[in-house]
Amino acid sequence: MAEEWKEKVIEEKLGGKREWTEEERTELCHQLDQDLEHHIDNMTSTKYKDGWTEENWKEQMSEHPLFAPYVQEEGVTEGEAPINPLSEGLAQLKFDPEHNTPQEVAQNYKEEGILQFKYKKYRLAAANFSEGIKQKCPDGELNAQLYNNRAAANSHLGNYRSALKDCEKAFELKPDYMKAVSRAVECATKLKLWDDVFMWCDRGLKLDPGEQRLKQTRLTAVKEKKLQERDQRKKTQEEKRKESDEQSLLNTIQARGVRLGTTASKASMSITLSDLEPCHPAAQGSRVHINECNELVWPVMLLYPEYQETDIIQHFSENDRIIDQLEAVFGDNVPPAPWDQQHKYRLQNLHVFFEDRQRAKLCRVDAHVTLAQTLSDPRYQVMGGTPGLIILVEGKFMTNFMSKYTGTRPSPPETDDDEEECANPEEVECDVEEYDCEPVPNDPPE
Amino acid sequence: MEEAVAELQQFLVPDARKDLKSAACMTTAQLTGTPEGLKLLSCRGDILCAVVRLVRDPETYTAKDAMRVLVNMSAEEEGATALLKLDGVEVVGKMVELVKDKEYAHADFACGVLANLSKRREHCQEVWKRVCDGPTKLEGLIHILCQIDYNKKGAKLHLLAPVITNFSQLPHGRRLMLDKESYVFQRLIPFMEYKESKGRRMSVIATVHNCCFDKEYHPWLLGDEVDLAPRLALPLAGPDTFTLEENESLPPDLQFLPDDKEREQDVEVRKLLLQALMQLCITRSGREVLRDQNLYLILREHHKWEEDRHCIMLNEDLVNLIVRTEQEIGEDDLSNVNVPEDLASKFVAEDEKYLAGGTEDLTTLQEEDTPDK
Repeated sequence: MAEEWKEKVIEEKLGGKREWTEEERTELCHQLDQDLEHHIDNMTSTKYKDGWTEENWKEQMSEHPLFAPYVQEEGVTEGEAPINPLSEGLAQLKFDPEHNTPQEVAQNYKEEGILQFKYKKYRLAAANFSEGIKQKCPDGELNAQLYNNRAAANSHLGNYRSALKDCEKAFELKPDYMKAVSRAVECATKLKLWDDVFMWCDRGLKLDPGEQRLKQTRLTAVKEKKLQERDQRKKTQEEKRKESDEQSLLNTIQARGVRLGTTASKASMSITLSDLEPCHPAAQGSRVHINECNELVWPVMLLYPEYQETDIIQHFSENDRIIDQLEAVFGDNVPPAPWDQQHKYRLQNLHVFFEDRQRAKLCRVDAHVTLAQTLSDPRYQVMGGTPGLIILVEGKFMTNFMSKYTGTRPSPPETDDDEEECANPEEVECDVEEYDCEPVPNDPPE
Repeated sequence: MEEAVAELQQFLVPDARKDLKSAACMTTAQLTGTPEGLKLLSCRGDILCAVVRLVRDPETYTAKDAMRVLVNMSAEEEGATALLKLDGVEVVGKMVELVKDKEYAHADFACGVLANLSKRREHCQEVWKRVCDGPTKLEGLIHILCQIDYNKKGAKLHLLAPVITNFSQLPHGRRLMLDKESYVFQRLIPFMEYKESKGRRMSVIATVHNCCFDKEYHPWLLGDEVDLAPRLALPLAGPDTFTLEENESLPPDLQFLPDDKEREQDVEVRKLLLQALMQLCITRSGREVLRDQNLYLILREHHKWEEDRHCIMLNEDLVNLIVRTEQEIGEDDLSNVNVPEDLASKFVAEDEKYLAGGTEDLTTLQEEDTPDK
């Protein structure tokens, strides 16, 4: 270049003359200086326009290949990002297989990946290492590094399983690769794959028998594994116990002659515990269970259709008499329920019924028998795991309510001698033979 | 006969005709099946050398027959001596090399040869020395043993375990197995519950048992790093019948065992386990660990289940040590107890009477066992 330029000057200024005198030389220098001055003077008039301004520097920077990769948002993949022609050119120089050997391409991808890794762009880093691996270059050491580095990136991303696989590859390629061993130990620990932890610790300890950290990790892993196995056994045992408890509960219910009904029509006749789970929020958590005296304890719902109110007795032992439980709610010492403004619902006034769902009839219950006796009535069906008892008092509502159950005719209540008064005496008329609600026998069945 | 053997020799060379070589190898294998043949071959180092050179014959039958010859030879004292004396081939190193080769299909035979050669005390020392001088060493062998499916051609390598057991009879062998830095011992422990092979399980337990006779290692064996006592008790434990509190008093290994947990089926293995636990009870600190870990619970349940009189006796001896206070025992290190000759023989007689079905209960301390099984 310099020679060409010199020739050109000689040609133009000196007419091709080669032998110069001292004066000619000075003259030439002076003239060239003047030319330059003149050129610079002319330049000052034009302003520099290509610089980054305060307004556009961000945009410029993001497009400039020197900075572009680092301002890119995480997760933007190559295809989506706008490709700057300059970047493309550079990338071509670096990664084009036509310009590089696979070894060089792999090496360049490795360096690019390491750069991304340093900037905590683990996804991009992993992608670069993957590209490097894809080159299948013959350098085992380089491939081992690529796998190990990809494992590092993946473990930062929480992909411990893939990271562990890469460690295995790296170790295969380079059997004294302690970095890969340490990483594998770390990943296997995260994954709680204790046998893998042992294997990797042993590999590491073979390389460096004095590695204290590996020894400690191995010891911890042995303990962790024991505890994990113990917890698993404990869980299995608890599940089995629960299962057998549940089975014995179902067997007891069946042995007591209690019929369980489900709201959903079920194809199979077998009863499961989900059928016993109370639906009522107040009864939840007090599912029927067997107590220490081997009695069934039910949650029982008392229904007061007159006021559309209910009460839940959460623990109603099957051997309790109904009247005793009712006393706790309606006894003399108990203030009346807020809805019972007329104070009608006192113990001595109560009539107890249950619903025979199959025949849509109402059956009277003798309050002096136990819950077990009531539930074993062949017409009784426990719905939703919660036996229900309908509580009514003498009056117009009771008569109306009962009439709904017997279709067109009201069914008379079994009136006690001392409670003759009735709101609508004419409706009490009834046909005794149609009376559906047989009282439960007084002497308890064995 | 001698001429026939001499004739065999010429076909037992790698470049002999395939069919003749394989026939010669088979004949040699058949010879080792009879005492006379074995005796004859024991004097023919040249033939044995030739056989060793055929173990990698490309013809798999030939290679297999060659290995058979070596297995049969090593099984008898005379043959084993002859193999160890071979001039020109080093049989132990060769076998270790075959065991190490993942692609060698007859590696189980190679394990068998090593197990046979190391069976007798006088040979064991020699085999041990040669293994230590070779490249693989004890650690390498244990490493191979502990990798399930190490051999890619289907060899199980279970017979490598008795080799290790044989080495554990040597003080030098135990010292390497109990090396705190190499994690050799810890790697063996999981195989104490190895269900796939009784032989491997028994050999590993026998190795552990032998290692329990080195008193100075007890603190390490019972400590955090190995935690051996629960592992010895685990095969004696059956399905869990403990309360929550009882369970929690046990070490994690023994907690909440499943309903289908089975006790070790083999009487001999149970004996080894109980004897090993007994050894750990020689010192006061050992007994204290067993008490802390509440292993009494496991022994109590085992006692109810056990039917073998010897095991019952061992169990009772052990329980005797665990339930008594240190004050009652009155001696921190039971190996210091000198049992007078006449009493010792009396105890032995009592044990024998008990084992024979006598009803007398044993309350005396067990006298010292020797470290060999």
